[in-house]
Amino acid sequence: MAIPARASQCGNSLPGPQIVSKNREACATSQPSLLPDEAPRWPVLVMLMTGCLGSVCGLLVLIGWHTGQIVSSAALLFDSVPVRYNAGLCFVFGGTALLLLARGRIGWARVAAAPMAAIGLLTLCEYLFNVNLGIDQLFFGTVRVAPSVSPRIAPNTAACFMLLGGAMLLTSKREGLLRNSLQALAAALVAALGLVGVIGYLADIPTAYGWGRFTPMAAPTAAMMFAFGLATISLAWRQYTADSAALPPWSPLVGGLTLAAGSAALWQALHVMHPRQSLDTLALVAGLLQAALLYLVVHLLRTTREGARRLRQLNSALQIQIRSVERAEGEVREKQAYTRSLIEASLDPLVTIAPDGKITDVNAATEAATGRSRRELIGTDFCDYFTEPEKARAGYQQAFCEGGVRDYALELRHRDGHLTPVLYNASVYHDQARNVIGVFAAARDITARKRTEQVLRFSEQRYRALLIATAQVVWATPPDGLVEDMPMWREYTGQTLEQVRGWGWLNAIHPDDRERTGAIWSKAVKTHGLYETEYRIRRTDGQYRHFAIRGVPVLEDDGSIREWVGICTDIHERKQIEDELRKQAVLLNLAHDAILVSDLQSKISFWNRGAEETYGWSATEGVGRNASELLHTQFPVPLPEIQAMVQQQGEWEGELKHRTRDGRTIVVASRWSLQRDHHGAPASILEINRDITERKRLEQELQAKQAYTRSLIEASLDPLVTIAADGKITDVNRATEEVTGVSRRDLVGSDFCNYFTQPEKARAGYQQVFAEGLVEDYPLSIRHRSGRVTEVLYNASVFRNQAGEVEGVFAAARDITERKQLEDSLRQRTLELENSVAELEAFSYSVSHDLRAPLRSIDGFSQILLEDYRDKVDAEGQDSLRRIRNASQNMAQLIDALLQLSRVMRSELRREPVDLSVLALSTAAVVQKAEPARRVRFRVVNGLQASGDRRLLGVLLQNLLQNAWKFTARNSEPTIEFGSTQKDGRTAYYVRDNGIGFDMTYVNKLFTPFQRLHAKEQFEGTGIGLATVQRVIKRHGGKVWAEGAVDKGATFYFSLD
Amino acid sequence: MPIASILLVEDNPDHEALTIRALKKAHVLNEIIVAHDGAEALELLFGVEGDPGRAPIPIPQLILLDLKLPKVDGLEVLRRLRENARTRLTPVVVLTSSDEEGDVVTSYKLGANSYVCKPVDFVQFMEATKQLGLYWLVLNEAPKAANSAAAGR
Repeated sequence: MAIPARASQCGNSLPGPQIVSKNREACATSQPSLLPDEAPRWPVLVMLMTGCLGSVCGLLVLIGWHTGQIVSSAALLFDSVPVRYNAGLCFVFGGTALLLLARGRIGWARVAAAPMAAIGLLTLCEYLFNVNLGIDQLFFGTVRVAPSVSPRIAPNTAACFMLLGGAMLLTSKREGLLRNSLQALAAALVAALGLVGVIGYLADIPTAYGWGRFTPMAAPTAAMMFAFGLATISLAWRQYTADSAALPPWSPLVGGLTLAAGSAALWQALHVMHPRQSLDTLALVAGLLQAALLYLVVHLLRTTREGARRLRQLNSALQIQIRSVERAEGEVREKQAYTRSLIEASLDPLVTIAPDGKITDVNAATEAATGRSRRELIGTDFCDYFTEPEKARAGYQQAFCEGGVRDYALELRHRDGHLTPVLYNASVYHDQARNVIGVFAAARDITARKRTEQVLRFSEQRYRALLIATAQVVWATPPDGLVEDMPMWREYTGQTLEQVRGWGWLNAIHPDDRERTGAIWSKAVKTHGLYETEYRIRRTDGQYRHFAIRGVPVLEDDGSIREWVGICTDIHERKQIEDELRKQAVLLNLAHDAILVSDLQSKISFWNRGAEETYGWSATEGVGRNASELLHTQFPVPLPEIQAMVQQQGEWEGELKHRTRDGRTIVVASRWSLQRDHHGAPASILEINRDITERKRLEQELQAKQAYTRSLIEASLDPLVTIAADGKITDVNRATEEVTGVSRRDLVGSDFCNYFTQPEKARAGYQQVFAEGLVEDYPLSIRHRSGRVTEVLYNASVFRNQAGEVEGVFAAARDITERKQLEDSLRQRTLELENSVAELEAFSYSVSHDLRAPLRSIDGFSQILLEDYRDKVDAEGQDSLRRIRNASQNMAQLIDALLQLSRVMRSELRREPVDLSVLALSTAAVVQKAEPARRVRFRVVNGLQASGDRRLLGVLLQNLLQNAWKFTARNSEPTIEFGSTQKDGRTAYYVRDNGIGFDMTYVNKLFTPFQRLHAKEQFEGTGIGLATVQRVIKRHGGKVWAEGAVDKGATFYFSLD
Repeated sequence: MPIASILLVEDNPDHEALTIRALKKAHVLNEIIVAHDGAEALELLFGVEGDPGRAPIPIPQLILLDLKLPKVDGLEVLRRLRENARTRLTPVVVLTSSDEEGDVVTSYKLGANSYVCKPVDFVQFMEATKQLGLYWLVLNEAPKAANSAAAGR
């Protein structure tokens, strides 16, 4: 089947591959009519509307079933059965599928269409095989709601759903005419079934909608089916083409079939209803006829439209071709115009000549050269415009014969008579069939060239004159080198013609140079080489002058020598300078610097001993060589620049790298100066080089050392800084940057004092360093840019330059912020401690006053009782009162002892020289005074000196002596000694008694407060005395210890620091 | 010439009683005026300004002054006494429980004539009081100015 090409892609169906790309352009821009119409909107509209309608109807039916309101208005109107639950469900599926299809969601649409097709198929199967597959009541038990209504959907309805579902499932994105046609056919059948049903209801023909004894199709279902059928046809249509103008190839068939199927169904219905009447046959015939007619009409319509469409496409293709041909023509025309313009623009006279010698075309230059217009020229004889017409004819004929001529000389004659010498280049040109159709001849005006030749000739003469002017002698000899005449030589030397001839000219040369010159000349003549030498010529006045001589052989075309020509140039002055230099060289040889003289081409002419020593080449090896090649000189700037500078300024200085003979590379400090001859013209360059390799190496070492030192400085965590005499910072390290928050660049050059909280103190600090040479631990506070303050101690000293002069101050700061903080917190703690000590003192004061007061009352009033009421209180009562008094007095003693201990602990220690012997004696007296009756022997060693707090030492001795006093009470001859001894290299003082002593087992309990080794009844005491002793010794930083044995006395030793 | 009085400045009633007893036992016949705090002592000695009923008492022959007193402490009282021309020369004996070195020194600096630490032992206290009375009321020769000022009243 011929399928018309779809016009969906522009240009595909158009002939002419060579213009495809242009067609596309055309399609897109200038040929909107060629574009397919926009995809028709109506199929989508139909699908959308039907989809909505179907979904809504279906939902209504479902709701109706679920709510029990199964009766619909359409069913009432047409006395129809209600729409079954499954049919409603299928409406929803079908409607949804259509909506999805309209939106192009084919995949989802299939998901919706499949259950619909399945329900239809299963129901049909139930009818066909008379089985119950349970599909009818699967989703909803309709029997419960309407027991009288069969739950199964009508067979025609089921067929419709199956077909509809199938048609929708056939939808695909890919093209496929068969699938498309099947889709349309299925849809057409559905529409026909629906239509028949509708007609059945309208015309009251129950057999049209109810098949046999089966459930009939409901009226709404019939209408819905018709709509669904149409919508699915629309779908198929849309599937087929996006061109609304094109009818699908299946359209006639579908139309006809629909009508035929409808007619058949109707006929069947009528036939069943009225078997006897021929109405049914009439309807069938009419229907079939209509179907055939419809088929024909639609087919014709389709073919016509298709034809029109093709014509349209052809037309557009043609137009595009025409356009491209026009464009190609235009291009050719443009090219021609371009070529023409080039031809016209050519300054050379161009002309084309036909084989018969007639001019066929000319350009503007030809018009100008001949003085005739183009119109006059074309058609006339080419030869007419030349001074030699025959030669012109021969020229173009040669071109025709040989295909071209080159540099064919002719002379064009202008109308006004003036002549233009030209050279012709001509070649034949062909038509497309390679037939020669003429000669294209281009003339080159050579007037200018001829003029140039003349100029050259003049210039040659001028050069010759110049040569004669610069050289003193210009000479020429025959090829054999034997002089015939040298007029200028004769003139200069005064030799006669006879004298000059042959080798006679040698006689005018300095005798020393003659032999050498003769040899060189002979050799040059023999080898045809360049003749170049220097010798002295005797001038007419008899003076010999230095000359440079150059001679060259002038060769014939065959290579033989035509003649020798040459010049002799006076170089007398240059020679003299060189001689002078050579004389100076003797002096220069004394120098250790390498001194060399080179000419302007760097050729070495002098090489002193210094150079020999420096580079390793001797003078003979060096002279004559190219300096920079010999020494492999590495220049800091290109040599031509240096030379230019020497030429301009007369000298140049810089560092060069040279390679010595033994391959070492050395660095030299080089000074170049220009030497001029007597006329001031540059003659040579004097170069003095000093080897500074070692110096360079030392410099680098020094730099490395400095870098190392620098890195150490940078690595320092202490901020380091150097300060000039004016207080400006000259250098800093990283730590300084960090502590100030200022960069090195900003720090250097700024005022040192700026970075401290007390600038004046900082200034005073560095000034002190300048004045005294150094400061140590100078406290300052560095202020960071952010405001943070760092406490530092500065150590600073002056530093000196090599000459020993003070250059500045080097200051190193040590961050003591932490130490400061520690000190602060220590101070705080001390203050707190002092406060608590003060509180303790207040407390002790209260104790001393307030604790004693009640004791005094107790004791006092007890005594009053004893005194005033002695007669009223019996002996036991009086004893009690005495015990009260004793106890209160003991208490008072205890308080006193405690107070003493606390004072010992907190009072300030004031060391001074103390005579312990004197102190012991006075204390013993005090102790004695308490019991004047008792006799105790005190033995005190005289002159025991110590350093300590006099008051505390008094307390110490008082306690020790009282202790001894107390515990010797039972001895009949009590003795207490005070003296000193040496223990472990230190002076230990002791108090020894011969009392009851103590058990050494408990020696460690002796000095603990309130610890007593003896019963209170035996010896009174507070138990605080020795604790106080120990406290006093500790305050002095000394030691206290005891030795003793029961009944053998005790010795208490103490040392003071 | 009436016997000049003794001013006892003592806040503790027990001590007041014990001191008066000790003085009596020592046969001191002088009138004993008691002030129970520093403020009262100053009022007695200098009167109250604007209250004629609280005129100053005649300058006592001896002032026994405790240091730890309510309201105005003993050292302050001593300082005020020595500031005032009337009482500058009056003998003041500090009679106190405190044996703090600081109190002793301060008292003497402020012009105390004597500093006695009250012993807890009442027998010793009576002995001390007896000697005090004997010394200050009998043996000691007070300046004439003080006497004449006292006599002037």
